[in-house]
Amino acid sequence: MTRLLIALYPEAWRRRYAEELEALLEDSRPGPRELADLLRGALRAHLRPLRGLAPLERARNSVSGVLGCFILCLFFAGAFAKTTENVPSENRAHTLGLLSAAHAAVMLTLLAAGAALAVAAAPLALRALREARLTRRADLILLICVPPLAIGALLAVLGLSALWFHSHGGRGDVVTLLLLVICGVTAVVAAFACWAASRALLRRIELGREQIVPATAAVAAVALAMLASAVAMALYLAVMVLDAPAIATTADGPGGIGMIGPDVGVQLVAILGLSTIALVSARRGLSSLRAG
Amino acid sequence: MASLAAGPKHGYAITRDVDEMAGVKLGPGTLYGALARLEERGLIEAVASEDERRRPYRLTGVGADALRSQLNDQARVARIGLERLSGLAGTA
Repeated sequence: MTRLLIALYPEAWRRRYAEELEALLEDSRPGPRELADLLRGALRAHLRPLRGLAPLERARNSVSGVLGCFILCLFFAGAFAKTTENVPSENRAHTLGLLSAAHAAVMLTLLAAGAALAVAAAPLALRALREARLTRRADLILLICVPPLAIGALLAVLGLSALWFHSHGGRGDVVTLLLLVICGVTAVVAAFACWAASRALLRRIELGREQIVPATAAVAAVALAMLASAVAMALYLAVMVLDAPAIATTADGPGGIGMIGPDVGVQLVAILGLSTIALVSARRGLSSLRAG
Repeated sequence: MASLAAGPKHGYAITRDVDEMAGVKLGPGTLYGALARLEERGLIEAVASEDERRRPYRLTGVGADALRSQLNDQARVARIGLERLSGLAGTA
């Protein structure tokens, strides 16, 4: 558990302090409070990286940080889409179309973030492919294969589950629940695999300014689009609470344990937090490139 | 930093010393966050040790000056605060 928490620290930080931190944890036998403190420390270390890193290394960290935030953001965006899928259309008309406009804005800004991420990833992916082709390094080839395989596995599980729901009417039986759990676990594993493989690739390939500069600029656009998505979601929530409070208090989630309004509120806070971290990270990357 | 004023200490020794001195239990993330910042600012430095995993830290000259200045400021504030409190007790 402690090794896993230490692994959450930035690589440069781990190179310098991980062994000492491990020794301290061996000596002091940490409890839940110490483990929570370690988690907070990892977050702070990401928000305030060690000085003395080369500008290109800082920019790489920035790209990797924004990618991680975007992947997490996708989970909350998926939850938002699921939470709001059954909002009745007649109520949307009642609120003069603002709800549906805000909903569309959330989805469009996230699509824009995804497109910006593809622009950021393109020069890095091309560079990785070229290096793998020239050097025939097995580790590079394996890492390049991980994201498409992970996405393919996720799509296969989602497709099979959709087929099952379609043929069995999506009843709330044990098999349906089990399939939902499998979909959730596969999504988490696939997202982590994509992020970890991209991060490892970023560290293993030789990158010059010609690849890192456009990638850093594009991840800044990703962070801005994420923030715009959070603003649109805030608008959606405000319209719902002020204009259609009946929707906000409608039951949501498995067994109706939640309510649409509070659930969207939690998703909003998460996406706002992630977009703020992504913006800070992107700004650091851009300023390090200017300084370098 | 006050803990290191008594001499070089490694991470675990610092947490024990701070607990005894100030009654504060420093978490591992908090301790190493502080050590990283202080080392970055040149206020402390790691000392070569046979056990690389339990490397002691010591105050640098700049760190000792900064600590002295900080403690003097705190002592001045504490003295003024206590004087004012005793004046308050006299008027009550």
